[in-house]
Amino acid sequence: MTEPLIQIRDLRTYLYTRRGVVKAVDGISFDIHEGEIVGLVGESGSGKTMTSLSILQLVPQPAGRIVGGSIMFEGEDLLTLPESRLQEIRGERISMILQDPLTALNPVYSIGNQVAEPFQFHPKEDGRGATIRNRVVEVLQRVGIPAAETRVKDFPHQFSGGMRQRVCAAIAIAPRPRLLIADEPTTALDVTIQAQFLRLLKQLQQEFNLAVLYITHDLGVVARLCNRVVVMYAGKIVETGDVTRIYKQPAHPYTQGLMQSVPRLGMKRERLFQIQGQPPDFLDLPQGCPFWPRCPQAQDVCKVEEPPVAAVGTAGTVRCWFPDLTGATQPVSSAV
Amino acid sequence: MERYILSRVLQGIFAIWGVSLIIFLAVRVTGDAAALMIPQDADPSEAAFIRQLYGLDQPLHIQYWVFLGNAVRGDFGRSYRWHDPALKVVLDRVPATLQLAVSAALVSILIALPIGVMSAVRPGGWFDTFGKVFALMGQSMPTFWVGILAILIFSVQLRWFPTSGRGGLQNLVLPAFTLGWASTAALTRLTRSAMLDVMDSDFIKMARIKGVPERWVIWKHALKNAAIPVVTILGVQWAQFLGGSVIVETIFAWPGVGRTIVEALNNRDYAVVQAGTFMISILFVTANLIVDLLYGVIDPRVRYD
Ligand SMILES: Nc1ncnc2c1ncn2[C@@H]1O[C@H](COP(=O)(O)OP(=O)(O)O)[C@@H](O)[C@H]1O
Ligand SMILES: [Mg+2]
Repeated sequence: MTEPLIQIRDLRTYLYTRRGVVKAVDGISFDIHEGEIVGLVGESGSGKTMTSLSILQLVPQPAGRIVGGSIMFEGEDLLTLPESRLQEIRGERISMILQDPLTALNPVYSIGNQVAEPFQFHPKEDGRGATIRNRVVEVLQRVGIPAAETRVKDFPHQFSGGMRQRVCAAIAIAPRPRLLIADEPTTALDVTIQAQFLRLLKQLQQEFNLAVLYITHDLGVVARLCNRVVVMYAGKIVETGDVTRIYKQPAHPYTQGLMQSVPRLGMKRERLFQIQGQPPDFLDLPQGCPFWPRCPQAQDVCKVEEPPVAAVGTAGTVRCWFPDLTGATQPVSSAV
Repeated sequence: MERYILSRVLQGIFAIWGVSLIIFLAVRVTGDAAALMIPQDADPSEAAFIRQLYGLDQPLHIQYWVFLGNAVRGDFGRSYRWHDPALKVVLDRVPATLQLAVSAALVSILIALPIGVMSAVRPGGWFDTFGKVFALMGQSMPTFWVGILAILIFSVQLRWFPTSGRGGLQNLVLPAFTLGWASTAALTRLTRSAMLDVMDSDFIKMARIKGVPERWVIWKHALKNAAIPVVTILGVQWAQFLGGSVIVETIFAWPGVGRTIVEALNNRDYAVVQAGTFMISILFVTANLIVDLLYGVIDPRVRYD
């Protein structure tokens, strides 16, 4: 297998709040390969957004700090780079679509102005000598904004939510990045618009051979979109694996719970299954495995000692004392 | 848009009318003008003649009716003291007042914006601490005291600027700073808090994700948004610049409308007091209309209908 596009190793991002230290990202490791779509799933508050902001090194200031780990991207460790180099990488090599298109665009500047900025700050010859204005119109047309030539001078409030998210997608793909992070980009959209947006994202991904880190808590979307899945719980990765295996044979009780809460085709209109208990409180995590208070299979050892990481399926991992290894091809190896 | 401006102009006219009514009454219930205009030992018949001459012998409502009719035509009567139409006396001094108030506003903005922005960029930092001390001083030192202190230090001791009068830029510096002082402090704090709010928004994060340099993020993306509440307060503070001009013009012997009103009050020069307050109301109402229209320039979401 070729070298991954991005290698995250033992990343730790802590938030120093008034009430205590929130270990929002607590020693996570995963890779994303060129042209691959990786789904990052987990309940809200599990540290998904902090993970993506850590990659771009835009964790909220002054509370947030990346305290350890490494992020190798195209031969450089992002965590050691100076701000000036990071500015070159942001928007040009790695870009991101935020959750809420209503707040992601600056209300007082025209969208043409905002879509132009990536071109302005990452001047790259495209070999055609096209003006910035032409390139702005082109990329807006590409993401499906009708009448892009005239709409460039319009302001964000003159667009619908779905259209605004398309504008954000245009900003994200404008300078042809290698990695696109999409942080729950459809959560704020209507269902029909969601489907359209996902189709667009998939098209763009194929057209530009983008690597995508797709963050969501919607496993239905993951099944349609992603090649691989990373499951987070309380700042840690509890399971990774390719999408088919995770759907057929989830190894971690938490992943199993998430799977049972996905509506499936042909399912009767019963109440959807929900994982029992409250999402974890970062300031008061239980000893041992953070999931044990909600885990139907919890044993005594889970409440005292952190679980080991076991290999499962092809290149999958699971962090659990008693994983369901029906799909495993490798014997248990403990690490981290 | 046109309808909006029209309705705002009508509101303004109503406000100006209200002010004129209050001043008209206040001037008349606080003393007898005729008594001041004639020597103390004058014959009572002379006083009666003066009253008749200026219509002061008529009942109040008749006087007001006459006053209003004349005012609409721009006639506020003649100044007892300057022997000129009162409106002309006041109009001659409008440029001086406008120059002072606009300079004070500019001084305020030019000091408050950078300090406020830099304070917000690093809360608790060097600039922020300086800004806090500065704001505290600004809000706790009354204008007249700042003016006298400025004269003592910069004119009397250092001899950098003249103590009074209107002339070149030299003369403008101290009065403009004095008048802008209190507002500068308030504006600094407001800019800081508005910037802090804005710097937290998603679109700022988005700008950084694009790889936009931090300088550009602050001075382009954040500042224009923070300017929206700042402009609102500037509209309110314009009233303080006009009101404060009465004090500052008196301290620095600045030949503006404010000082002229004070003198006219001392002389019971009704006509000038009325024309002066009328002028100040117009300046205020006009400035607020301009501020309202400025919103539309800054914030494309504002609709005038
Ligand atoms: N600015 C912040 N200050 C303090 N804590 C924060 C901040 N942002 C997020 N958190 C905390 O960090 C944890 C992880 O948040 P986040 O990464 O946003 O979760 P997710 O994206 O998976 O919903 C949460 O417990 C959240 O409360
Ligand atoms: Mg999130």
